[in-house]
Amino acid sequence: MAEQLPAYPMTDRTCPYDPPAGLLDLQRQAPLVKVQLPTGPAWLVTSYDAARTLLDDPRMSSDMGREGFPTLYRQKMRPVLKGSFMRMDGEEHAFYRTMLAGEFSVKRVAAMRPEIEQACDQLLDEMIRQGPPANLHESYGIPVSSSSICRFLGVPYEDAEFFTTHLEALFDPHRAGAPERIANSKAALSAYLDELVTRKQKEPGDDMISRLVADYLVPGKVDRPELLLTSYLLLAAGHETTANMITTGTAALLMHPEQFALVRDEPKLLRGAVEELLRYLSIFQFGITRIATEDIRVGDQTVAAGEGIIVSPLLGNRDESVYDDPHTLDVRRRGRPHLSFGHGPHLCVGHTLARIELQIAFERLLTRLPDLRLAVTESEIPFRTATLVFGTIDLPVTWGERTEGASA
Amino acid sequence: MSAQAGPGRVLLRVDTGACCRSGACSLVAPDLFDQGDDGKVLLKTPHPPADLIEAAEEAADYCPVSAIQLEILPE
Repeated sequence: MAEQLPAYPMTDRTCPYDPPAGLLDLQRQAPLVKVQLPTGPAWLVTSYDAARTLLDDPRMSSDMGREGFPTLYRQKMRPVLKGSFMRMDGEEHAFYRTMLAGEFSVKRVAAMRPEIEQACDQLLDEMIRQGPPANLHESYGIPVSSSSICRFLGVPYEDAEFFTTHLEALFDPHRAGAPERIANSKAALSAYLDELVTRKQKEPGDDMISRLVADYLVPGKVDRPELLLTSYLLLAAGHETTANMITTGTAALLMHPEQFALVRDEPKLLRGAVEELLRYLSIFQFGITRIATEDIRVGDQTVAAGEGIIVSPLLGNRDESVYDDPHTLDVRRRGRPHLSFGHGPHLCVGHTLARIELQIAFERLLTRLPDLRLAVTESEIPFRTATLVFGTIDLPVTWGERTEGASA
Repeated sequence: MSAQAGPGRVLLRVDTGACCRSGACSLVAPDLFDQGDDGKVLLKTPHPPADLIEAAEEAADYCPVSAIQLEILPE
């Protein structure tokens, strides 16, 4: 009789920041191990090197419409819609990435720096004016992220509360009534974006949706549902993740005060500190799903054509053959690139924006509130371990008299 | 790969056909890489000075599709 496979995903963390013990056990079976998903067996990639190799292997398909594609939840398989570029391969995927690449170029994103800084400072002004304590997620994480993505896409910030509420529903698939809630929120967001595109056709602005309307929709290179879906995916993928990183990253720094002090006192550590927080937290915790289109040899195992594969950035980022002392948060670490944005042609299209947002958000926060600390004990911080995105969305913080004025 | 090479001894190459326009290289090594309006990589110099060789190696490692190669030229 076949041995029972370990069930995946695993969500039972003992220390909030460390992968579940059962998952670390699987890591010993590097580079990959068979696990049982709710929908059937699949391979879990546990090593850093195999993760990088496989994510850049054209025999690995992202097409969810393929028979046997691994899914973390029981859900009906649907064909991949036009515009759903994260679920496409090869040339088809490259078409959308080309469409978006100029928008997310380092130059374009860096040009947003002054606006993001200003948004951060205004939020901190307000926190300081109201006085401690504050829930950092509501006062800072969420609004920093939503104001940046709004500005970038060309979505009016006045509407942020509307889409924030709907986006939150998408990331909590375990909540009661989730399937209907998710369907309703998707419909509401789609209707909203449809109206926005109409407005951008009439009154274009200096933003991504306006440019895509002019350069792609009007000349007929993409159709309207395609543009709506692409915009929706960018909004959904970029909002909650960055907000969560700001809040959960701050929680990690506050729970490691010596690391907080290092980043605060040595601004040159900032870029590396953001990379280390991305590695250490690995908030997109369950992994990147693929299906093999041909037999692929990995180590001394063969992934057969048609078998599902999940690449775990959480385990790759804690691979001790790549990172010394991988379970320690060390903002001075200068190591290999982490896997939190993925790897290969599907590398997160928004990584440039996310990185710059995070650098600015932490820099302003630690400069303006240099003695920021937790307003609750560590064990009182509610970490979400079963959601697609790991972290906390409730972080009560406080600070003393020592606040710095906004930079000019 | 060694970071000991002297100026002019390292040849930096980019495969623009393979480039997936991620911008990772210009983000980590802006002195060596830029992007066109379409996001494609633009190499600023194929001969990184000694003090930028480490940055060149980092950019090669950050490239998600391994489109950046460093070659150590013989003396």
